[in-house]
Amino acid sequence: MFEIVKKDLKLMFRERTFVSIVLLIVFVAGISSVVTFGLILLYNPDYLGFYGSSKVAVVGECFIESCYDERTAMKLFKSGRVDAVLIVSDFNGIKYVDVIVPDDEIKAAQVLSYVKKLLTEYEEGLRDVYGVPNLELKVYSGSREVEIPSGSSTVFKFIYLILIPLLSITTAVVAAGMVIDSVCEEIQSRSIEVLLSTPLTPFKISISKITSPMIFSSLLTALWLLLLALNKVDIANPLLAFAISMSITAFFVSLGYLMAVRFGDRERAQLIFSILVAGSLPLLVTKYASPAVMVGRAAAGAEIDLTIAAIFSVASFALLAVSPFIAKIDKV
Amino acid sequence: MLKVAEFEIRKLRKRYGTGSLLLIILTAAVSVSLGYASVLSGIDSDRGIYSANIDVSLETFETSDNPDVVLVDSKLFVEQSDKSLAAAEELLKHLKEEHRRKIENEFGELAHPVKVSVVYLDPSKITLPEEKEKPSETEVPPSVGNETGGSALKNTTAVTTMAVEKTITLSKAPNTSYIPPGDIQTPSLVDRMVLAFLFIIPSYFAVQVFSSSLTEDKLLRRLEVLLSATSRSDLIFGKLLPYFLLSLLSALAVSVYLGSFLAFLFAIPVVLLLFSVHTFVVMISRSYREATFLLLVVSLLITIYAFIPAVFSTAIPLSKISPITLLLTYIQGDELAVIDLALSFVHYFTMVFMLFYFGMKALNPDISYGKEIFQKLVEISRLSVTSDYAALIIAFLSISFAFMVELFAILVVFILPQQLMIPALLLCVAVVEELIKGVIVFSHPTLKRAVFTAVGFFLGEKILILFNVLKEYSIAFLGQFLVLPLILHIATAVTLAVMAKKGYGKALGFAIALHAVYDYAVVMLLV
Repeated sequence: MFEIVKKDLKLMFRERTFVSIVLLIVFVAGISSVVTFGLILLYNPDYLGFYGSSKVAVVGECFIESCYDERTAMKLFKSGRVDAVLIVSDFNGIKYVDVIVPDDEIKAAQVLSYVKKLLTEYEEGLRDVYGVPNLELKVYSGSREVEIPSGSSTVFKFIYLILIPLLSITTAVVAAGMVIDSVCEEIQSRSIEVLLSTPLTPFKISISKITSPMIFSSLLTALWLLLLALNKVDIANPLLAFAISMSITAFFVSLGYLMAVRFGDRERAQLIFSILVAGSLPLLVTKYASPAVMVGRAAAGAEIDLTIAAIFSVASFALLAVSPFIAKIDKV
Repeated sequence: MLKVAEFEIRKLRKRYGTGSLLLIILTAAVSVSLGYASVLSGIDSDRGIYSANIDVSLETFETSDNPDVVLVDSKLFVEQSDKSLAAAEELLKHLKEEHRRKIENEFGELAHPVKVSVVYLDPSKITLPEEKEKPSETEVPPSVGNETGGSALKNTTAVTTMAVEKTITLSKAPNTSYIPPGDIQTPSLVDRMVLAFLFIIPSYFAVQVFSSSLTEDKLLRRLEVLLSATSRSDLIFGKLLPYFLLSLLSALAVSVYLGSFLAFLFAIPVVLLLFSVHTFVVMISRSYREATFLLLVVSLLITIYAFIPAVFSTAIPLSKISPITLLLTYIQGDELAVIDLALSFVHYFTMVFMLFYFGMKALNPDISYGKEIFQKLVEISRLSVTSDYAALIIAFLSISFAFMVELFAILVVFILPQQLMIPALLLCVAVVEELIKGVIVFSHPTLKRAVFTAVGFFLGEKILILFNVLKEYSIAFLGQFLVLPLILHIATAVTLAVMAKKGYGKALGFAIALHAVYDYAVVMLLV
């Protein structure tokens, strides 16, 4: 039986699959800062926060130094020498501000971040004048006052609640893809008949078919956890994250195996498996009780529902163990 | 070709007969329901992810003895960890909202003494009146004192009689359009990206089924049988036709749904690139496993290459090389420059043409079932580059691939420390360019072939410079020089030809080292 596992693993390494996946992960990890930056930028352009680089012209109530008449301000805006024009009017003590920004989204996001900060400070100053209290709250790290970097929470949630769950799901999908390929290849090339004629029992053949992807994905999971740690992403509970990630793989590999044996051809098994995974992906990355989210939460050091995690893990590995009995490889 | 397409449809029907089709429809229905259920039930993955020493009325917080943040009076204590800083940001936001509600109840309007309305304008479309038309402020006093609170812009534009071509709609409802500065929302780009994905996602399924079917036919040696009755191109395009039409129909359906009828045309280069690269990968793969992993890698790379530039669409001019950037611009109703369209489409179609061409050449038992990948590439090159002029043309066209890989290199070196960025980029450029030239030169390693390859590659580079595609990065590609790059390409190509006998690895290593050292010296001394 171990001979088949060894053969499958050897084939895997010889066919450069392992190398290509490692390269893929290294590449994704390598450009993860660019991808993270781009995705966060899409989701929350405030994250750009290039406060210092914008120039504004104020018209009307002058509350900063760069004040102009309307025509000059619009001329400066048209020529690109200012990024925004603020037209301020007073009505019963309330300042109404029309903010004119370029319709270019990236530029507008950059300018608006600055304008937002500027006008918030203006608002706080006016509140002091009108006797309206501002929120007085200072942040300290030890005895030193610090400023919280803008977008810290968005970046944190992106890494632990999206990136890590997706890495875990991708590993499981790759392992399931491997079992589908490996089983269907034996069935479609009829080499399964040769294997069945050997002293190996159908159960042993099935178990060996699901063992190699499990070994492969355990190495892969350890590798991406290590790469994340090297990228200065704190992994608070690596063993728990690893264990839950492996149980997701066990569940997906079982599904892959069952579909491969039932359909007997790679095309249908892969297609149906892909559709199911694509459909369940939103649930897998958005729910507190999702095992993929639990991997991210364990890595973040956040609390997880251990009962659900334990039930899922036991059920997944049990399904993996009984799948050779549910779909018998000799009955194809 | 149509015969092969008919055969493919029959095969599809047989495989996906009524039972399978029902199962696929059922699976798709389950998938849609699962997706819909996740939308209905909302996101709660961040429940209690942070902890504080006090009870915070936020779903994301829980109380703990070992909290991420500690709030005492008006002081918030944090640790220098990502989690603690993230928790502090979230808690600060919450406390600000609570404070806002409190002062709004107590002070009413005065809680927000500044109110803002944002107007988006294209600066180039603003036309200013002549100087003489500008009335003095004493002539027409600002009339902001109307009962609704007024629109400052409406009044001031009336004063200056500025002709702004774009319709300003925000001043229609002055009561509601003015918001506190803290509520300013920066424009989100997510919706546009989702739209772009709608055009391409169905094609991924079609491409997957196509490559599976092609792999099966290749491994069961059906392709060899079919080749005896039809040409290579008819065979590949015939098999591809039903799937391509399916992809086209799905993109067309999205176009019609969005009321932007020609938008599907922009999806064609990306979809064709996916089909061509899948064809090529299947041809050089020896098994399902190898094909699966290589296909996964190339699909991901193409997705990144097509979609990432669209994220930076208006910030980086180079992003227009992606048809997805142009697709989003078109949907938005903005004008498209013919040169941008031509460059993007020519770039993608060149890669599509070459991948199909090489894929067809690779339809050969020697290539299909043996050797290392690099050996296979050299073998394909041997079959494709049949003369020195062909070497020149292929080297010229292969600049599209060099450009794509070098763009990825720019993405990767972007994360390196500043002092390493230029050397790393130069090394990447040297590796990519010498590998491409090497594959062409090794087809027939003579001096003449080497010179023709070098000249072809040089001409390709100059075309890119001519169209300003590489303007931003011309330092790394030595774009501003005319003779130096030609000397460099000839020198390294000749090295490749001369050293080919000693092994491809050695020849490539030497050429890459020469290229990298030369580039580095020129950049350091002359730029």
